[in-house]
Amino acid sequence: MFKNFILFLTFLSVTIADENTEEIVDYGLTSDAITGPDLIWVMVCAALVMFMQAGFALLESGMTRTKNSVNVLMKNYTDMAFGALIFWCVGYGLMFGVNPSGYVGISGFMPSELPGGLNAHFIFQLVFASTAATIMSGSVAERAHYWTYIFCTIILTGIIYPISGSWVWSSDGWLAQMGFHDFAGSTVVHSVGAWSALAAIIILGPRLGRFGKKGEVRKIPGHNLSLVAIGGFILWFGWFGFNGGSTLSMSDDIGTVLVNTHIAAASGVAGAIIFRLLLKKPVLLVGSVNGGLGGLVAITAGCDALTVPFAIITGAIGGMIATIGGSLLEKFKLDDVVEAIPVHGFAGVWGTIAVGIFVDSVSFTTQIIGVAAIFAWAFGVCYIIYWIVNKIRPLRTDTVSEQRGLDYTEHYEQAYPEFVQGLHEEIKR
Amino acid sequence: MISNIEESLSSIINVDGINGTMAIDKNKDILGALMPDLYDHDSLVDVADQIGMTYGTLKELKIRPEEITFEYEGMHLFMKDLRGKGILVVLHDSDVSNAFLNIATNIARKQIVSALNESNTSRKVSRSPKKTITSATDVKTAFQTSNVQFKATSNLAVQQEVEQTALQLNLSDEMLVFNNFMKNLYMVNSSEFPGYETDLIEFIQSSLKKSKINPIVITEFEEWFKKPDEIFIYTLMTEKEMHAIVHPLYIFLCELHGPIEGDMILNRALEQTESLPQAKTFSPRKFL
Repeated sequence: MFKNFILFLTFLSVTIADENTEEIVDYGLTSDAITGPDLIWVMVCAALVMFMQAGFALLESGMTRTKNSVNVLMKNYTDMAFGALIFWCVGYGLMFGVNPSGYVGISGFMPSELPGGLNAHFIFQLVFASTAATIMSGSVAERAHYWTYIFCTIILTGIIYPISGSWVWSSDGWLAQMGFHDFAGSTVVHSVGAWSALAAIIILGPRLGRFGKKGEVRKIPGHNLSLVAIGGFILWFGWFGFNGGSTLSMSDDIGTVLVNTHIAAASGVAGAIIFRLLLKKPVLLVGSVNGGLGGLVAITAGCDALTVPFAIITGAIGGMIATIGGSLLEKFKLDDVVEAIPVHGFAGVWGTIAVGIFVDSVSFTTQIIGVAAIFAWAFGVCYIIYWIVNKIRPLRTDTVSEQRGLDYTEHYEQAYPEFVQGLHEEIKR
Repeated sequence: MISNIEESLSSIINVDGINGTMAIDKNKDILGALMPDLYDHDSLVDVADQIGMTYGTLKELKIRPEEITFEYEGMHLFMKDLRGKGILVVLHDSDVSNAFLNIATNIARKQIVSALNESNTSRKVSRSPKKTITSATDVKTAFQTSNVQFKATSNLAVQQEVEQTALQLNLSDEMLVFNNFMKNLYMVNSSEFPGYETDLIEFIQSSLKKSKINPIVITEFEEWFKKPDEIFIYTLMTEKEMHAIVHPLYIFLCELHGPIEGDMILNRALEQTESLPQAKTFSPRKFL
């Protein structure tokens, strides 16, 4: 059976590749579009974006309890792996294949050999897709079944993200035709990941004891804030590749993009801190890191078009939104472990709309339409799919697993065996 | 060893309504049996076969039940796994109280397992009944002690008798560890939380009913929560049952105090219990 499946994949791959050697993508690119210094730049940026996975893994692991840290790391590690495979199978074709309808690509599935510089384009888009997938892992941490989560990320990376991505980043996409501007993916990448996470946490429910019966909110601090800080630094570093590589060329634009990226991140941190001081709340490391990430997410849409002062405003407000967004979720008793939804979703929405506000050539209305359409698509479809999956096999682990920790119950290994209830004695490999 | 097992079996048949008991090792050889006259050789062989078939089927299905019950020719068979050492079988009328039956079988089980553990020699009283028992007389001589008394006592008297028996027993390491752990877990300042006990008991009750554990355990816990300073839990529970009790209590603590405090209380209870010498032979981590 497995052998037949492999043969089928090989046959399909060769067949499709033979039919579409030169016109795999509808991105305004030819096979020699990315060459020379451009090729080097995009490849280096792809590596930087891939390294952001390490940042996500550290950040999310640090924000969870010791008994769940391996689980979070495993989710980050494997959603990247499975995400890459499914993106190669169908995602790239759906997103960048020939797109006659403007709604989805219909060619370029399972490419066995891409011509010339399109390899750089493919690998860069592949690591982007992994970023969208991994945003969800932090939100659903500490109570989501490992395999069910992996299945959901496969759906996200293989279908949901590429389809909405094709609307914006395929030259024939209907939002692209309307003039929707999302340079590096505030909405296309970050918000899609966040809306998927929102759908998942609504279905999952909060962690055991997170909210009291009388409405009290209990914070569950992470086990290692050093990891959170290092994760934040790595993400910030990787974002230079995320935004910078989206130029797909080593042009003068890189300078603008990178300056805006860094300035917005700094503004995000400053905005979050000042905002908390104004609210007379303690200045926390987690809030500061998330503020910086909020600034980065917000600037992602317009880092190529904004001037530095507007980048500062965009980043600072992004940081503030990331800070207060968590409280908003808590009001609805939604448990987002790492506050990925405020950081990637709310700040992403703000950043995309900000382009419509601060850039004359971009329509505010179009930006609103794009944000709303992608929210409806990503959240709506994710909610339906996760709901069905949940009926077949629960997304959520049982309470015994929550007590013991998912490291033990899902993976039979523990990051901190000396601290975690000594269950290692019972582990049967 | 044999007399210990037979004493254990007699503690069961002394319970009102119990008609016979038998202990069978994992090879289906009879370790000991106490049967009234109404059981002849063929009936015993049939019973042994039935037990063998039932457990064999369950084993094929990879199910290892702690206890099972089924009806056989108008009699009810209650079987309890002796933790891999064999099977304890109780035959009883339908009107016998399950609660007393469970207490009695648990006491007997403990004694039998201890007797088996102490013995380094052959555990078999006889070989398979099919080969060694040829008549009803053989059944009596092989499996009945001469001083077996069948008492027709009231349920209350039986309960008192069983309780006395239980208290006379030294609590096992497992139960000492478990009692200590539960007390540590339970020790919270309940005055801060009005209705704490009521809510807790209701929560535990509903959780335990869902887990389908022995009803007597639920009854005992209801009593224990009313006076947690006493050692009340004397039922010889399995590790699975102990875990089934600890877990809802943990959930309740998490809901009441939050998950961080819940984990801290659990870990504190664990540390304090592990300081007991008995915890070296039976780790409280098994409750987790």
